[in-house]
Amino acid sequence: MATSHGTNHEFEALSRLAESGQSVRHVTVTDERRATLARAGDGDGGTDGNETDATLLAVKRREDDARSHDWEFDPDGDAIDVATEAFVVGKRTELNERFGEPAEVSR
Amino acid sequence: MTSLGGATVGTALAVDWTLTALVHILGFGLLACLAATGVTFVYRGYSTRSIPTGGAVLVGVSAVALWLNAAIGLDGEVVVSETVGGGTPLANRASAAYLLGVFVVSGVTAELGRRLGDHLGCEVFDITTLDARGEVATLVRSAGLVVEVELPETIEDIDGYSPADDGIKRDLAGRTMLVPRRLTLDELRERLPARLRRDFDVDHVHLELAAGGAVDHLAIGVQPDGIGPSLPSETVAVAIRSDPSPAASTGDPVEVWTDGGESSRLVTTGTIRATLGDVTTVVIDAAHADAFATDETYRLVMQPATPDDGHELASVLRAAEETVTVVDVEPDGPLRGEFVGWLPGRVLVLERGDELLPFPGANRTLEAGDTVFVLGSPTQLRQLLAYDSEREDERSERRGPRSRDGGSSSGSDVETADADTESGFPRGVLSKLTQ
Repeated sequence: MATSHGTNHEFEALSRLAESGQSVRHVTVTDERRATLARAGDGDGGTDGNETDATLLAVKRREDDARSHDWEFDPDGDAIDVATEAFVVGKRTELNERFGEPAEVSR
Repeated sequence: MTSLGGATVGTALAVDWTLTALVHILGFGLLACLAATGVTFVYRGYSTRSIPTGGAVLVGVSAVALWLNAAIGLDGEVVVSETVGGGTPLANRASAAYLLGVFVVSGVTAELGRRLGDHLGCEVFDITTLDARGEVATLVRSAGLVVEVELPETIEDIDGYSPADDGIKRDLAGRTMLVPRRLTLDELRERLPARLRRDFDVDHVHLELAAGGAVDHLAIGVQPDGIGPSLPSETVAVAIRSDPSPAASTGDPVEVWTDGGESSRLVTTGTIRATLGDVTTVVIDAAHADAFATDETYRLVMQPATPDDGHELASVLRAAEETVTVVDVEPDGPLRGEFVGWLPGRVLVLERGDELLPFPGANRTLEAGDTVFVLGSPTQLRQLLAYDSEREDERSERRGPRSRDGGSSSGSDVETADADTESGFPRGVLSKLTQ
């Protein structure tokens, strides 16, 4: 049995997000999704209506882009134009509505 | 007389034995020397580096040990020479002295052989050893090809990563690194960490440079090992023997049931971390950890709930330079009354009492007692920890690129932010207004 220890806050933060009803979705960026994702990237918490919003948390750039090897966190909306994969966080129902049921998402 | 004659013969024999033994010891020494020379020479040729002293000496002494082993053979007698009195028993002072002599001499000659082999190797393979402080290095420096960058005396840890070994830190503290000239600050900022990562076996390097290129602050960290650091607080990972469910993968929610046929009952629910054969590691709530028995087999039932990609994100985050830090807003601390949007980095969750606010709006004000989870690069997180609300210039600089975020989506955010900069309201007033 292994107990949790150490100073790793990433998992703590993610479990807090899960507790607050947020769900993480790894999506493949397609042309029709691009607009939706760009909106999620721009929504830098304008109002407090985020509880229904989806937030773009990370993108991976296209192979031919100079910075393709890394994930880029907290990207701006433009980054999605050259992205191939993305992590989106939001309410499960919201994610389903925007990106379809998880079964359709490439995993 | 006979006894005297016997003694003379005995003495002669002993002298003879000693002489032969000495010659043998020298012979073995030569063998060790040759073996060490050979291996050092070959090592130099292949790797262009010098062999570690211990390695060469070990090879030399091993050659001798192998030979001796064969010579002692099955009868357990140390044969110095067949002609001088045959073998002596293994547990005997003369044998002990002989063997000890052989190994001491071999050790010394092996080291000599290593030096010889190294020298030969350098000559034959045309390898020139360069000392970073030697003459050539000075020459390169005086030609203006390299500049020295001195690392600070204290190497710090990066919050959120496992601290690096003390030995590495001692090695780095105050060290002079040589870097090519005509690097811009940005290039240096990229190059120096890359070198440190490659040469010193650390995973994360964070450094801050002064205008002149001097290193102001250096922090290093290593990737945490094992499962412990990757578990959320108040959970435990338990390896249980179970029916493998073929469709289950990491991060999938499961129910754990006892495998008791009719009397099967639900033990707990958790998420799968790993599966190997019929053993599955499940992350469960710490409170349910005692519910498992060692020799029990369990049944895993997939929960109908849709799986979550949080684990994937977590592993991506774990590998990336960015990390998450936690800050508490103190009643009289600098963060109190600040807007979420002003913090360097991205606020993931704001914990206010029992309430959790995921991705709080940029115009939310931080209150005393709040706990904030912030995602950011090491530089951003350091800025956050050293946050000082009086540094107006720095903030407006930081907010510059941020304005693109609010531009299209949220009118209210832009308004509040602009009101602050343009009206020149004192800070306190503005945060009161928003509260």
